[in-house]
Amino acid sequence: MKTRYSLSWVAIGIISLIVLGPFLWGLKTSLMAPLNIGLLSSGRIHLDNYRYILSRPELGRYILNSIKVAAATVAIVLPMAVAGGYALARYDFPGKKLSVLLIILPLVPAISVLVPMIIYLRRIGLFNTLAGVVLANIVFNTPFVVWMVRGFIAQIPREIEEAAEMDGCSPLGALARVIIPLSVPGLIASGIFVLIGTWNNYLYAFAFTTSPDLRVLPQGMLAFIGSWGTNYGGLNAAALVAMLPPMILFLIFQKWFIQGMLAGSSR
Amino acid sequence: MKRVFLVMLGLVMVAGILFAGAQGEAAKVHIKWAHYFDPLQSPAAQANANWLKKVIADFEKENPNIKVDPELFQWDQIDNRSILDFQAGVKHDVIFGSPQLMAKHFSIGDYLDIAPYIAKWSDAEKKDFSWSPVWASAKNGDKQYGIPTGVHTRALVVRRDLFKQIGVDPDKGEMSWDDMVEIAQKLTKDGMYGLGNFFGASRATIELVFGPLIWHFGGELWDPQTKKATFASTAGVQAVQLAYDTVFKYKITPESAVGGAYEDGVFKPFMEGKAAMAWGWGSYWIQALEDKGMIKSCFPPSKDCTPGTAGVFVTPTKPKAQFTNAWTISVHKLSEHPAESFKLIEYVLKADNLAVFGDAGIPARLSTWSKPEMQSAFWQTWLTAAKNGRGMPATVYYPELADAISAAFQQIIANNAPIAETLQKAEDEWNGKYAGK
Amino acid sequence: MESTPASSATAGRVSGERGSPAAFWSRTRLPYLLLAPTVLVVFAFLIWPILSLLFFSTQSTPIGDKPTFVGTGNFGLLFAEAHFQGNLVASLEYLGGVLVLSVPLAYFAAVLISSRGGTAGIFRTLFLLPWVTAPVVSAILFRTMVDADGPVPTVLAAMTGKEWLFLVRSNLSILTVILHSAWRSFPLEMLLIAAGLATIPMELYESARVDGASEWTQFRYITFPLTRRQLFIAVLLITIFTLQDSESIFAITRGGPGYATETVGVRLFKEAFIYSNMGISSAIGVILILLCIVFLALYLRILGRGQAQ
Repeated sequence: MKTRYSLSWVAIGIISLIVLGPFLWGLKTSLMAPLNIGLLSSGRIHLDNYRYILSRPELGRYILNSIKVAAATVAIVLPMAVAGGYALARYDFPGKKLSVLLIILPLVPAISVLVPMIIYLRRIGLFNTLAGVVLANIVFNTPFVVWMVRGFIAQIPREIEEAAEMDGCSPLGALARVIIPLSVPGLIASGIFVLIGTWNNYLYAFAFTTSPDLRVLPQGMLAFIGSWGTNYGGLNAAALVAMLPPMILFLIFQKWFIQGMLAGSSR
Repeated sequence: MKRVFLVMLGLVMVAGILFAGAQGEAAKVHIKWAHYFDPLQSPAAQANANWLKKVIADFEKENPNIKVDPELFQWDQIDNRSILDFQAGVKHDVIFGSPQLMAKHFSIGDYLDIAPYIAKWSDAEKKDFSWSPVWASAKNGDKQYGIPTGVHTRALVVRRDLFKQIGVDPDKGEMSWDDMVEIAQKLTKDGMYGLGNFFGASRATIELVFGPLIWHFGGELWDPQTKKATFASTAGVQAVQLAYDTVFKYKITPESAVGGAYEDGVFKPFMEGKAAMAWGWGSYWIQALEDKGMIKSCFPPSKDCTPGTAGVFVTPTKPKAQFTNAWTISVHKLSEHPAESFKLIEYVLKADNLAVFGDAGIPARLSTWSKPEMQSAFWQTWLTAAKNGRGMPATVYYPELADAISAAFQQIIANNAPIAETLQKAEDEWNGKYAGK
Repeated sequence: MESTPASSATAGRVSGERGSPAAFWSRTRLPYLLLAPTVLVVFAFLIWPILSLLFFSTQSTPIGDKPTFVGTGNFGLLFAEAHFQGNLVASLEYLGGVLVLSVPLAYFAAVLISSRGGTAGIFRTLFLLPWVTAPVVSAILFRTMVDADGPVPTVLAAMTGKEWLFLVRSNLSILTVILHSAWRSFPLEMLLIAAGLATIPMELYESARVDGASEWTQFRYITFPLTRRQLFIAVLLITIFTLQDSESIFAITRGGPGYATETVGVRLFKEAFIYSNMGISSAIGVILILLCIVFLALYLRILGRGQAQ
């Protein structure tokens, strides 16, 4: 028994190494002088790469754009998902079977419909705006989140709502006063899911915007992969800087996220 | 509820008025300048970015009613962006472009015809630019869509000190392919390769390696009469064989030339002392040699230009021809201020500004060539290289052609695919889709 | 699915007469109203582009000319092309590699983080880090590790004495992109599976152990069947994501060397955004959607949707 226990710790250690390895190596590379990236290379730590990136004015703009897109997406998706998830969890109605379509449709690979969506956005005047990017994120995230929220709500015993309604609450009131507070962990989990997915997304911003001013962080990072040569020190520094915001957010909310995910997908 | 609504409406109106007021701040004309100098990419790019800033600052001082906003794009996407944006109705003003994609620009029409503006130039000024093959490639009948900002040609740079060590004259300026191979073999030792080169997943492979080599054997990449790709001809097969041999038979070029980027195969190794010679060294990298002290007083050009550890040879092929092009500067079709945009272009093209533009490489202006500072052996070799230079096929589907050949090239060198067969397959596939168009 | 007692039992009559706000939000209308925003968004902004995609896939769009109708011409061209066949193979290799590597790792990790208390919390978070990073970012990190002077080739060279050119050889390039994607994918799979594991009653394992069942037997007859549902979701999500992935492959190999790592997703990206070929890229887009549907059907059949006994 003891050996099994320590073996599993070894296993955890190995997986941790696999997980952390690329980050640690990236850190090392970013701290070295530009052309000095071998395994055995050592030398003074150079902060030049970081100094350079953090001093670029575009960085602030990219981060701001990312924040705008992510925040707007979450702010719009969550209420829609709560409403939809509640409806699907608690009600039977003609046409409910069609809700499966709702889940299946956005499984369409986004990249397939990117070009038609560009034309569509142009027609409605949202091309080359952050609003267009937000829209795309909403379209591809909402159904999945609806499904997740449905799962969370389905776990809440009906008796609680019924009790509330006995006390004179309307269905919507019950939703607001009872269901939502009880499903906060699930909502946070969904919110984080959407937030991280949106923040890390490169494709929609790339396709739907063209002004350098509207670039989001991943786009800015990819642009650093110079087609002329690969400046690994700078590249890795850029990568690690870009990684921080979602990482920090995630670490703050990780308890709820994990709790929510574990609960929601087992129903 | 109503009250809240009215308050919000009031706030929106106030905001709108303030905003509109801010716009009226100056009768300033804002024009955008789309460029590709990303300082983070390389020291060369950083130098160009600084140049751009200075030109803009000086221009704005001379023209206080014009404000220039630079827009950064990736060098290999700037043409595409011009096209996609034109189709989407997104405006640009001054914008750089590649001559290889001129045929595409003609076809789609995203550049403004600037011939009417050029007509106002003096004859001397016109001649100063129109000698260049790049000028010709930006011309479509009577219409002119771009002006070359320099001349980009490529040559073979060598380590003069290492040449001297093995008793070879490093200043002859010309040598044959066989000579080059022989010297490279002698110099491949002690962790150094004789010849730095690049065969990677990029159009540079076609432009800098396959093109010159197929011309060496008298072949062409594409036939303008039949509009068919012809790179799988005997000449093409021989060209690839030659490249293949440098890696596997003569072992003067490392296999890693197939990966990474153009700079990783040619620029870095030579600068770091890992390659004794470098094939396809661009004239846009002359400044870097100067900055590292490998040539002295050569950039900006001066009478005292002397090579140090670095020397230059014309490309050792029979026609001595390397890919020659340049960035052209144009006005986007959707620009709302073409006159001001052209004013900026004229400013950029001023001799003094071009002289310190690292990316220009070799002067675009004919008059600059005859100046005393361009008479050193170093620069004369570059001028010879430029004069021998050739461009890429003027097909609208050039990107597809270059990418197809590049992919075949890699399959051959990196994965030992049979040369003739692979080239033929690639040629058939391209012709199947794009021949005659 | 979950059992739904006839909602009419408590649905009853909501207090309120006709025309009052309460009647507007009546139980019969409510679900439709609640779902309306979602349905609206999905249908308005997804259906039209999909239909448009289907339309354009039947057009030939030469540069500078007007599009012409070619019916299934684009599809015929693509399927006959050795290049595109290679793209399909690359996609399948990519997907296969990612699933083969990430699913077992995910199960392993899920078991590890499920079977202990507080200390596992840190590791649960830690193991999720790959998923939290942007694909572009992790692609850069991986590329650094396998490129010429990185640790992976250096260590391998020290061990085997040969030169390992990761981004030069086709098979090593494919391996690199697979490793990267598997690394990114396993956390989400792990989380979903762990959720499933949490629902398995301990008694099942205990009685199995008492009966002398080996670890593998326990896994095969308890763990695996009872996490089928989560596995289905996990594998489906990862499949869709992997099939359409283009940005991470692009960041590592640009689809090279040759066309070795040019999956259907990467090919679609190139045709749409570099060559601007509307007709062909739309056709490829349709094929990609069909691929996803095929896999969806496949998984439904293999993994089923119900609980196993």
